[in-house]
Amino acid sequence: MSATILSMEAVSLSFKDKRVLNNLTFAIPRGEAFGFLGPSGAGKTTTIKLLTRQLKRDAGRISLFGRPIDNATSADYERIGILSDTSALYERMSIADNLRLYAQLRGASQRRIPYLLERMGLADDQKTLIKNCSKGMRQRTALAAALIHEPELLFLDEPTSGLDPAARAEVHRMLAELSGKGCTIFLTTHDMAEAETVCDRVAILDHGAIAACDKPEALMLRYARNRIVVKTRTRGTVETSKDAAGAAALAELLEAGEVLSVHSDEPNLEEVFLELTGREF
Amino acid sequence: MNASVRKLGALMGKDVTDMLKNPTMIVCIVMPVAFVLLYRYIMGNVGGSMGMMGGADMGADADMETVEGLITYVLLNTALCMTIGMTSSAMLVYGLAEEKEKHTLRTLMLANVSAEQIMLARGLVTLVVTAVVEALCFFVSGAPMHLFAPYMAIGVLGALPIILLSLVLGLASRDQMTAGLYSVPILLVVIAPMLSGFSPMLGDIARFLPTGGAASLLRLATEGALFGSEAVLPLAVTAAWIVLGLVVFKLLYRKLATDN
Ligand SMILES: Nc1ncnc2c1ncn2[C@@H]1O[C@H](COP(=O)(O)OP(=O)(O)OP(=O)(O)O)[C@@H](O)[C@H]1O
Ligand SMILES: [Mg+2]
Repeated sequence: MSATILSMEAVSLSFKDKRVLNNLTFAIPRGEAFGFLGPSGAGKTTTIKLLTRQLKRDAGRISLFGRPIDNATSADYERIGILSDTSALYERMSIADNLRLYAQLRGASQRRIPYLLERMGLADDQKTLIKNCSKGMRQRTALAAALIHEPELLFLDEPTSGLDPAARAEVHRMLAELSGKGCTIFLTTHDMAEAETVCDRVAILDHGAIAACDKPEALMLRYARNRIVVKTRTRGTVETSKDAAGAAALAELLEAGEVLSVHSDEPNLEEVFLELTGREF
Repeated sequence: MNASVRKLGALMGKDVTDMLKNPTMIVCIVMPVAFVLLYRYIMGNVGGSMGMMGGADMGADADMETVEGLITYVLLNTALCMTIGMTSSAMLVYGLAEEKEKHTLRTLMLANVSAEQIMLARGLVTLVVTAVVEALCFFVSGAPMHLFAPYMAIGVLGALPIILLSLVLGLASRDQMTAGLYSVPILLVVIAPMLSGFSPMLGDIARFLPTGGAASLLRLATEGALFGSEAVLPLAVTAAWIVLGLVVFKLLYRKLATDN
């Protein structure tokens, strides 16, 4: 296994009396796309804030590039790109001017700007002032700004929120490419399909604690209910299991001429999520 | 070092671009100049009639000189107070508050820009713009050219404590509404020397306010007595406010910049 880029060990955090993160432990190797899932208020953004030094933990250890986070230098932070849930751009400046600003701040080549504008589908709108941009355009610009210096480690807090399906798919392609080039990605999302597509591994956070952490396929195998759903003529929707008893029940329905349709309830991450958190999101 | 210079340049460029595209900021820049113009017009009329009245029973020459000296002082003092109040303070507080409210400040810091760099860029841009507006006010006032250098030196010195305090106030504002609220007391303090002609008591207090030192120095300059012993107290007052501004800034800015 390659070197650990980012890790938390028994990290806890409270706001006043409220425990928000409880004993979090995980380690992310270089090049991994790690998904952090959980219902609203589970503590995803708070975790990113701890990892990016916007908040101080109460207890535990956090390491960044293999060293304690408290020793991280400005040079370390030049290797990181962050898209936070409140990332904001200058309203009275254009999309391209905002990217130029961040390129200059990061010491990145201005030549990256046309490439990113193109990939984000913003090339035609690059002269539009941010105040005249839609939510999705702003989000894509903010994402481009976070990527401008080709970071080795990316923190993305709900990067595709507000994006249409085409833009979302393009962002997924870009993240896959970055990941392929060795960029480590820490991503939060409410979109289980996104987590399945983009992430090598996901952690499901519930009430500030990690309920499960594994490859998406492994989680689906472990937690998915193995069911067959049968729509019948007079008995409504019938659920059976994928085993001998289920097969017998299905045979009986078939003989009675009741069956309208049979669906195999394929395991998906959404189901795992609901199973683990017991909540809609 | 190289990287901090690069970042400082980027930040200052952004601050200037944003300022020129923001109507509120333009008002803060234009207002002092317009005010001095207006004052000059009013004072010109008043001064003219005063000169004529004085001319009836005294040596007209000497008296005209005193009246003109007084008018020059009032105009230049108005120029400094208004510029420092509007450009060094209100514009700065408002601009920083907007960065806090819209989360662009936090976004900059997440891009590995330090609070020091952001503050330094804002402070420098504000200082330069203050100097430019002060210079414009001077030319509009019609004051004699030999006063330009001392006036500018006094203006820049007088703006320093206000810029430092305004940086802190701007960071302390949660949004532009709060910024408007915080700007009022500081504006009153800054323009107090302008109003001190109305009451001797106010004048006595105003001498010790942040721009009071600058106002006294300006008066000495128009009287040609800037390099006398009388300049020591106002210089000390100004220096004390600069030091106080530095201390307050140093103590608070980092905490305020990272506050939610
Ligand atoms: N500054 C704060 N003071 C007090 N409580 C806070 C603060 N910030 C966050 N919290 C609390 O911490 C909990 C976790 O919040 P967080 O923003 O991390 O959730 P999240 O998982 O990112 O949710 P979402 O999916 O809606 O973005 C919430 O209960 C929230 O109320
Ligand atoms: Mg969040």
